[in-house]
Amino acid sequence: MRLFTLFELENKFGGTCDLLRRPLRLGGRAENAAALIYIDSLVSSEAAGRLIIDPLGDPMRTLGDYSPEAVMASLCGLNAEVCSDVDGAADKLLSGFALVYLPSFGAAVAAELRSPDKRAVAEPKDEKVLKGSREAFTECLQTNCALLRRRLKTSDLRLRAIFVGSRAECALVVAWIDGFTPEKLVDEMVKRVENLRVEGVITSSVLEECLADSPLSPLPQLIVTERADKFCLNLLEGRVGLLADTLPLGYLAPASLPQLMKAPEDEAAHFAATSLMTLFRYFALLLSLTLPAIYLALALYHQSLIPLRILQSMIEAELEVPFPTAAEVFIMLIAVDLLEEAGLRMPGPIGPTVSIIGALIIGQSAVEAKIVSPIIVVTVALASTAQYALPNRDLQLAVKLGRLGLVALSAFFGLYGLGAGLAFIAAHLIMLKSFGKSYISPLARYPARALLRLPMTVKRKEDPTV
Amino acid sequence: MKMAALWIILALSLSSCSLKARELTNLEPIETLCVTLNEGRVKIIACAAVRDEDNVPLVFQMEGDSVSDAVEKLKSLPEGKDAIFVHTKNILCDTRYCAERLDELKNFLRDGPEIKESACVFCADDAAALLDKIREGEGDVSADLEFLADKSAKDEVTRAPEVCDSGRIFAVAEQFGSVIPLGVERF
Repeated sequence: MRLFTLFELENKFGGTCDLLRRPLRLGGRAENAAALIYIDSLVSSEAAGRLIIDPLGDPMRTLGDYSPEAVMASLCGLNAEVCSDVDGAADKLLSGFALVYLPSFGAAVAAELRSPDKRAVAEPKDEKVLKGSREAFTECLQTNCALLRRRLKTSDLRLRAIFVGSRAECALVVAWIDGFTPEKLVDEMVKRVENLRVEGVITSSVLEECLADSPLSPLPQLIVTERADKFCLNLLEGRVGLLADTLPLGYLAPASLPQLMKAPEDEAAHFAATSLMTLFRYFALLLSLTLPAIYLALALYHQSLIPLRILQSMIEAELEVPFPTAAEVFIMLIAVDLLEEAGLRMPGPIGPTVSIIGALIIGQSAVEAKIVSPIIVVTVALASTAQYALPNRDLQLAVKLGRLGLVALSAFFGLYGLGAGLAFIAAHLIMLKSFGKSYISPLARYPARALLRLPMTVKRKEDPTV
Repeated sequence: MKMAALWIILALSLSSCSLKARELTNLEPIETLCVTLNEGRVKIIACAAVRDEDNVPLVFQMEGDSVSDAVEKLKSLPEGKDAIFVHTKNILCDTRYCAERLDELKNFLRDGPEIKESACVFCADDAAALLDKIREGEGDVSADLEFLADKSAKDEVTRAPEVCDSGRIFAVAEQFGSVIPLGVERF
């Protein structure tokens, strides 16, 4: 019984130019005509010729009854299977398989011949460390899974593939350590991934937004990393991971603020140095979030709290500037953000130059032109610099948003507004959950463990499995 | 919890509605105040912390029935500026005022929010002349006053001999560009 025709299959692709069809004579016999079909951009033509056309067309070989099963059996060494419907055959073509279509059976044998065109494993770009692994994830899911397998040599490592996408299929892999990662967490991740409603192309923002507990919150609710070793360490801490085909990143849940404050080199440095740097990062977080807002609140509403000599300097600096203090702070904040954006979008070698020129213009020329007062330049520059001490880019963006909100509240309500804003942020942090786990865990119960990196001897005493 | 967060914001925001933003350029923080008696009325001369083009501190004068009345009138300065007295460190009074109406000043410092109670009061024969010397930066007048104020703050418990029972009230005299304490005087 004929299951599907070649015309139906070709029609499904609407005559796309990269769908190639090559005639094939099984066993070199004209009566056993077949066709080899594959997508040129996904399959290597050389491999198709060497691994399929040559062995199947060899007149010295007989292929049993030339049925799909017999053809499949003769393609030893290749991942092959029989496709009996047109949709399944199309999916296989899109996944880098070549089809041997057998007209007399109306079926095809799909053999995996994925093209090896992929980026090699390279050094991480954003999470570089001096001491530690230099392998980052790539866009190829198989390579990323191999990176995990190489690090976690245990049969308990589970990788479950889930395909999503209503128009185009995209593969995602949920990774966890069986018997160690809480089952509830794994089930929750699988459920959320299965419920993803996307057209086909998976972008990082889609994943982060669709998998987050509170999509409206600007705080990152998944740990995103390009480092395979960091991904594995987090799996060993009981987190569940997610890899997506075509994305060179790994996602981990649940996320928490203390986890996001950890830098890649923390695991490579001495515990005392790491602890000190972590404390600095928390200080930088506070400074970056509140400094411009505190300045504005004090300058506009609570001048009595400023020591006389500083107030005198502030007044003398402001006397020469035509703008209101709040406008000055906003101008500076926007200018710094514009510079940052320009630096990011500019081609590699130009980016830093633009930033330096911009900083000079803003820092020196703006003061000389009496557009902003030097104290505001110092305040905003300090806050912006402190922002870059945070190790997570998404956290930096959230802090930037929070800072603008706090500045607006301070401009209208002074320290009361700032207090209200900080109370809101604190309440939000307390209420926020990532995969059902508190976002600030374990800051409340074990502050030392969250803020400091304990020596291994202490860790072992607390938990012998460490 | 969300309602609680909203409530905190609402309550704090509403409680701040009474606040009025003041631009720094509209402020004149007063550093030194001189109090004298002029035909039975209290005359105050306020010396600002901010200096003019000639690097001399600005001064503002006002008369009133009492110190609090004069200070109240002086709060609104020309050009829409506001004088703030919270940073006032030194109050120079002439001896006549100290002898006749010092209690009024003490009450003003104790009860009024304008000037911090920690401000030091110096009683001198010619307070206005002392203020001029401070403005013009002559001699060690400013440094001497600062020294006395610091000493008073440090010796608050033990009471230095030159500090009277009233706390930070000094009897001083100006001699050859320096200010010297005149010992304990009971005001």
